[in-house]
Amino acid sequence: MKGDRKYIWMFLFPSAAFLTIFLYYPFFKSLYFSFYRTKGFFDKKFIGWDNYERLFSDKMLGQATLHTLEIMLYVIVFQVGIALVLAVMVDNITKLKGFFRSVFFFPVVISGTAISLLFVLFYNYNFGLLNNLLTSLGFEKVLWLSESNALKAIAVPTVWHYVGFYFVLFVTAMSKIPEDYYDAAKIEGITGFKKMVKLTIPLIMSDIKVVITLAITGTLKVFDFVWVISRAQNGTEVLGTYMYKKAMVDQNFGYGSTVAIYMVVLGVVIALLANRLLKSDEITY
Amino acid sequence: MQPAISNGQQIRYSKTKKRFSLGTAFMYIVLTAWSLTTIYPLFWIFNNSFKESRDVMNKSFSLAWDPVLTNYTTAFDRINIGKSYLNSIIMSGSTVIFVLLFGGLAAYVLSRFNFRGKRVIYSILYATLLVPAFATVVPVYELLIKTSLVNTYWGLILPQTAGNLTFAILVIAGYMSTIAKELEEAAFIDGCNRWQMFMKIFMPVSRPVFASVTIFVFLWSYNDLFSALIFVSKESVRPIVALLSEISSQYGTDFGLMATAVTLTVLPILLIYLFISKFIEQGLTEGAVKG
Amino acid sequence: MKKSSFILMSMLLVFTMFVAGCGKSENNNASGETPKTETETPKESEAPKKDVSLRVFSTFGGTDTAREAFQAALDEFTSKNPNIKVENDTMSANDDGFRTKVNTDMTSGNEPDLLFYFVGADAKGFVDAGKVVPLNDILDSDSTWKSGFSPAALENVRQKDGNIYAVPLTGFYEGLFVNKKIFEDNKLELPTDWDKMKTAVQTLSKKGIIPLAAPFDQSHYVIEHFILSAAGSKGHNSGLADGIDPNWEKGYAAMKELYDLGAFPKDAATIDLGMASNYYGEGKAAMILEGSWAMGNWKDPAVLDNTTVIPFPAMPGGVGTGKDVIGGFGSGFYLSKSTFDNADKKDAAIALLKHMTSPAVIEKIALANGGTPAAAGVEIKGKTQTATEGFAMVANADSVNNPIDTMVAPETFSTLRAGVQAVVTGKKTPADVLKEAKDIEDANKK
Repeated sequence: MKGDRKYIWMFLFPSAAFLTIFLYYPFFKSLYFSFYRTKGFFDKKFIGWDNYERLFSDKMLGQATLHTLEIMLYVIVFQVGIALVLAVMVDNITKLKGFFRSVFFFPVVISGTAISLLFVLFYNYNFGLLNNLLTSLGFEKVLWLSESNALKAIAVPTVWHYVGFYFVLFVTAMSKIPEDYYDAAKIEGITGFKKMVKLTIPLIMSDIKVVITLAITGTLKVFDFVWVISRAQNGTEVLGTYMYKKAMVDQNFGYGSTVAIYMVVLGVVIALLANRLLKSDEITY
Repeated sequence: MQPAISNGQQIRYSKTKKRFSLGTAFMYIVLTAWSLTTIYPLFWIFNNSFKESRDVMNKSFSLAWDPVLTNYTTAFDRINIGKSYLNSIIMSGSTVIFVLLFGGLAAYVLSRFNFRGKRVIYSILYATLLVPAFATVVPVYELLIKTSLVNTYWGLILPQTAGNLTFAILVIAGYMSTIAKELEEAAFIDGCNRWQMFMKIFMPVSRPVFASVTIFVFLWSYNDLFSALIFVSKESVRPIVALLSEISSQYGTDFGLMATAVTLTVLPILLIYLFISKFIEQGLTEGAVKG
Repeated sequence: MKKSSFILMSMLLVFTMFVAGCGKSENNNASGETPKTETETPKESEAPKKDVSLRVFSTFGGTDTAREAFQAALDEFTSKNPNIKVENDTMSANDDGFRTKVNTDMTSGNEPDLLFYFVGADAKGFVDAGKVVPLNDILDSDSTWKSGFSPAALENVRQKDGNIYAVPLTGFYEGLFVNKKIFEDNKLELPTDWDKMKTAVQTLSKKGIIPLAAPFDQSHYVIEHFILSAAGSKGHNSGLADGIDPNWEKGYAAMKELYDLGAFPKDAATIDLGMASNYYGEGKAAMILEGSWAMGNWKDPAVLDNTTVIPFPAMPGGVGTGKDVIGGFGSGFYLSKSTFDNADKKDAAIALLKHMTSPAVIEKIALANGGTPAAAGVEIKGKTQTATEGFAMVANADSVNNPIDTMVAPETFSTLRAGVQAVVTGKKTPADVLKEAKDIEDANKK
């Protein structure tokens, strides 16, 4: 269209300005810090690539990366999976649609810290709900947050918390599929599960991609659950908690920033990989 | 392909004709089961807010038949809770408006225009989602101090708008990219310029996605404790999360008080959500411009 | 502030006008809900001379037990000095956000006039950077004010360079809190020496009672007391800067010794201090290493009335006396340099500082929060029997030592904390952990 160039500029400008001032500039400042050894806020000393060298020999960081990837796997499979299944089901029923739509969203409203607290009381060894149940049934108490279990135990609330979020995005996406598509499918006798795989999912593929990207980036920032439920102990250290520890608890902003940059790079790589894997022709109607 | 022109009536018509089957029963069972896992925790928190801390620990799953109001009196004694709610609404509400307006415009450009550098912008946006708040908080705070915005409403609105824009742009662009070209062409023939096209066509047509984004952005902004504590901690401007966290942090082990704090933050949001979800429903089913 | 918000407002206005120009739109409410520009303009007011407004930043807010007493003391001051306005700015000390905020404020020219903050390693940054003034001369020039403090308290807040930057208010102590009833019921003697400690741990753990409630991650008190017991006051206070005191290894080895006897909760790896305190407060644990402030959280009279506090026992082979305690005056009021240099504010700020640390105010705040008053001659009385016993413990101690995290860099301390679980479960030797911590400490010194 004529004069589009002007509009591209004008429409992108406010967002670009906001992002530059409040995200990119601070982030580049972090990048700058990553070349310094910092002590608190006042002393800093240029140390070149030392922080990056430390990054590569940091065993804790390696573990934190693996744990984050493990949670990411659970999130993509279960969180996105459950959300998709629920969305398809709600799309297919007639009664109580609105009820389910509203209710599934509830957990998203509660803050992560509050949910973590709830699960602390589930898992607690001495008076947790699960162990109360076990003892009343005559079983031995179980250490739910043991080294082999803790990460999975944390994955449960992590997955559960945001299912409703992706559910709403999927329902929104499905709402714009033209009814004629379904009518046509019906005439050809495509229903139920087949309809979901052949029609619904391909039609909302672009939204699924967005959701998976959101899930990946969200997982990289997981923090509250781990911090509150297990104090990042017993094999549950993730990148979010590790960075927080370095930057805020240890007050080593230099290395903390280096970890943050590592997180962004890792995230971009994973997101690109995911995008490559999910590549398919976009459908417009 | 014609643009979808459907309404709730038609949908209901075509779907009620289906016979009630085993599959449908199964679906209702699954959906009900899942809804219980989301209702119960809310009830649990509400229930426990009427108990003393030790009862929360030792019998958190019993009903509070003799409600104890100490937690609520402690919470209300200390604070001007109404003012904090107001602060929250002003700051989160403004954040939402900015995000929708600016994010909507950017999303419109990214989804409906072809220009060089578009892919690059998308990649940058995806990368932006990954920047953790901890990595930017200190420089942002310095910036706010220098512009004297700390402890003013803008001190929270501006960084939060920036923080939520990326998500909004990506989600709205995803939706807008699937809107039929015909609509645009028709508008062009009518002599609309790009601005009018955005306001008159793309905003209304994308109502469902704007509604979802509104909810999420509002929630994130409302629940964002970390920024609130640092940028707007002063009593006259602090939002409800910061206030309640202050109440509970000193006695972080008082589970009863914690439950109350959560109840007080969640309840208004939940009520608002239940109220507006009707409108969202409407947006969802309308799907496209009428006529 | 005005300028930037003006730009934003006008930007918004332009947009809304744009919207309005384009016919009907649903976006008109965009301007309606924008925030009314800030209602307050902190301390920029061009007031007539002599009118001064001061900002005091502290942790006396929220649910702090001394909140009212603190506010009352400020009110008392402003009613006496009507030309001075005091803004009471508070934040809870429990989160790392507090440290971040204070440090950022200090670096970026947003210093409060008076800051109530920790002394020691936490303050080293802004002290070294000259953001706060040494108070020695001011103290010396006002002998009534100075003599109001107990000399020990003033000594305790001295920074490493020999100057006093913060004047103390109330202090704290840490110790081994013991549930006497559990010990009596199990026919055990109080753990006043190492053998009694071991017997108690063994007996209790067999009976399913948690002997010593302690988390591995937030193991501040565990580390402090075990090292104090093993390395004595001098060894504990030397930190890691000048080499590793060989007795520190014994302290870590003793943690493992007790762990192997079943001393810690089964879930010690994943609980936090709050939960450990709950175990004790609910009578599920017989002992806990905690600070004086923890007593406020134990509500059950069966626990509170049967609690006493004793020093952590000395261990065989260590050089601790068994009468060493951790305690001190961990925080105080700082006067910022910019206020000191501001002729209008200087005197007002100093007057407020003197008022807030006068014996009368100190006494009131100590009574409210159960801390040790920093004033000389203020009678030490506890709210409860346990608190009184705690004060007695400190009074009879051979040495009162600042906590270990004031001696080492924050990152070093994190390494020491992380070492606790590794050592007790046998994944690392005490020597490995200490070497790791030493390396971090050295890297920080660079």
